[in-house]
Amino acid sequence: MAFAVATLAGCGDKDERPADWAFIAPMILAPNCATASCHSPGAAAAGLDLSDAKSAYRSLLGQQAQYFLPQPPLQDTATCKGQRTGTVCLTPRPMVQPCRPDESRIVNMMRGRGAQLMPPDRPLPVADIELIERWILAGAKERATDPLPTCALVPAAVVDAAAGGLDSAPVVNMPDANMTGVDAGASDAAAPQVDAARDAATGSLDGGVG
Amino acid sequence: MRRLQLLAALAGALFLLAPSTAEAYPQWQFSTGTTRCNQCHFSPAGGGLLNGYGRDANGEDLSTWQGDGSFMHGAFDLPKYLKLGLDMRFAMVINDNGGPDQPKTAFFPMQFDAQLRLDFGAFAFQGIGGVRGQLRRGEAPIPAGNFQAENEARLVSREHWAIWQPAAQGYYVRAGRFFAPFGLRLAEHLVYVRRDLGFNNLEETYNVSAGYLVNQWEGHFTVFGPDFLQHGNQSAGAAAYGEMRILEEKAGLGLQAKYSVQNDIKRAIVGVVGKGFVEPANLLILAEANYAQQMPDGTDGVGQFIGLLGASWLPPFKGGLVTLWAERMQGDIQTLDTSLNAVTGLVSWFPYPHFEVQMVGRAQQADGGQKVSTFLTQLHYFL
Repeated sequence: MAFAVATLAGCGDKDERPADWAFIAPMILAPNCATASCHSPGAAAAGLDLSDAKSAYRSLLGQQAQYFLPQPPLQDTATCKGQRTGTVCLTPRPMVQPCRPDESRIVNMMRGRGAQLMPPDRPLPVADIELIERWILAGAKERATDPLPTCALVPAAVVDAAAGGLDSAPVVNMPDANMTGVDAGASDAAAPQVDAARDAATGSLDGGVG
Repeated sequence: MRRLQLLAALAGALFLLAPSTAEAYPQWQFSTGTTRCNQCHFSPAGGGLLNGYGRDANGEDLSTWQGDGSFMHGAFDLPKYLKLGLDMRFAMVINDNGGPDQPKTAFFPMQFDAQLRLDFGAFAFQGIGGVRGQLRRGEAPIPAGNFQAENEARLVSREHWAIWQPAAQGYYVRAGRFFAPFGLRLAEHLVYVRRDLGFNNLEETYNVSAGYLVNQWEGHFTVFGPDFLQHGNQSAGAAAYGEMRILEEKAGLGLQAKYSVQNDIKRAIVGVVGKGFVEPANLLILAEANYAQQMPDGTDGVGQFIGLLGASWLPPFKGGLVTLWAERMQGDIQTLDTSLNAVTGLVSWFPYPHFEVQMVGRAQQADGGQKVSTFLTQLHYFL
C-alpha cells in the first residue's frame, strides 16, 4: 500500500526542484557520493570531499580532477597511473565547467560517457543529473546571489532558458577565447585523450547536455 | 607489491557494494520463536556478538548439521565476565553498472572483526574492532591541493559502548558508538531503508540511548552526535523506535521517528515497520515505509519516500534461508522520475555451526534508465 501511495504521489511531470547548489549539494551529491568509503572527509576518494556544500563546491570547481581511460594501462607517469581495467590520470581541468555541462567531467561520469560511471554502486535518476546540468548551465554558482563566474559571456537567453529547463535551452558552444584559465577545454592537454576515449565508448558527445 | 596495491584498490572500490559486517538477522525474529533481538544478541537492539542462547540456537536449531555453537566450538570455557568472538567474511563481488569499464569482479576479505564483552554485574562494556576493508591507496595520484583522506587507519572500531542493563527484560541505558535502534536493521547496508536514512556502512554515531524491552513490546530513545573519531557520520539529533508484538507474538508493528541536523540540511523522518510470521508457509513478511522531509538550508525542501517490502522463507530443512525484497526510494514525491527501485534476493545456507555461505543478487534501476546489477557470494565464519 505504501509503495502504491508513494508511486501515485510522485505524479508531477515537471521537476520543480531548485537548480541551486544549496539543494544539489545536500540532496544529490552528499547522499549518493559522500559515503564513508568514498567522497567523505574520512576517505576523500580521488581527493574529493562531497559531504557538505562548501567542501563539495571546492572539490568540483577549485581542484584538479581525475579522469579514467578504459584502455590498457599506460606507463605510470606523474599524472597517470595504470590500473587493471584502465588508466587513471589527473587533469588541471576541474570537475565542473561553469555553463558547459557537456564539458563537465562530473556530468560525463554520472552519465558514464567515456568515464567510470559514478556512483558505481547505485544508479542515479536522470532527473537528478539533469538538475545538475541545469545548475552548471546557469553558471554553477555557489549561491543564487553570486555573480555569474567565468561564463558571463553566455547570452542571457541561454541562462534564462536553463532556469526553465534544458529542453528549451540551446547547447552552449562558446569560443574558447571566451573562457579563461583552466576552463578552456582546448587548453587542457588531456582533453584529446579524454575525447578519444569517450568517443570510442559512446560514439560522440555532440548530443550536448540533453 | 604493486599488484597487491592494485588488488587492494579494486577491492576498496567494490567494498561499498558488499553487505555490512556481522549484523542482525531480523529474518529470524518470530520465525524461530524469538520475539526480542536480545534473545540472541547481547545488544538490546540486536546485531554483533551472540549470547549463549544465540550460540545454542546456531549450534542446534539453525544449522543443517548440529554442533557446538559456543566460542571456539566449545574447545574451552571463558571466565563468566568475559565474552569473545571473531568474525570473518570473504567475498566475491561482480558489479555491472553499464559503464565502459564494467563489469568489475573482486575477491576480497570483507570483514575481520574481533568482539569483546566484559560484564560487571548490571554493567557491561562491549566493543568490536577490526580491519577496515576500504582502502584507496594506489588508486591514483592525489594532488596536494585536493582534499586528503582524514582517516587512513586500517583498524576501525564500528562499535564500542557501555551499558547498564540489570536484566535481559526491562530498562537499559547505553552510551557509545553504535547505530541507534531504528527500522528493520537488516545486515545489508545497501538497502535504501538503511543507506538513505543514515545507517550506511561505517556511519555509526555516538549516542546515549535508553529503552525498555519485554516480550510484548519494546521502546528505544536515542540522542546521537557526530562520529568525531573516524570522520564518518556527522549528523546530530534524536531517534525513537517502538515495537508492539501482536498476533500471539508472531508479528510486530513498529513506529519510528528521527530528526537530524547535518552540515547543510535538516531531516525529519517518520516511518512504520511491520514483521509477521506466516507459520503454515514458513514465511516471514518484512516491511518498512518511511516519509522523510528533507530541509536543506537556504532553499526549498522536498519530501521523500523510502520503503522495503519482502519476505523470508525457511525451507523445510534446517540451515536454509531464502529472502526476497523490493525497495523504492522516491527522491521527491512531488516529482515524477526521481525514484530508485531495487529487487534483491538472498540465499543463505548455514551448513554447520559457525559457518555460513551466502549468495546475493541485486538489481537496481533509476528512473531514466540507469541500472546497476550486483552479484555477491560470501563465506562467513565466526568463532
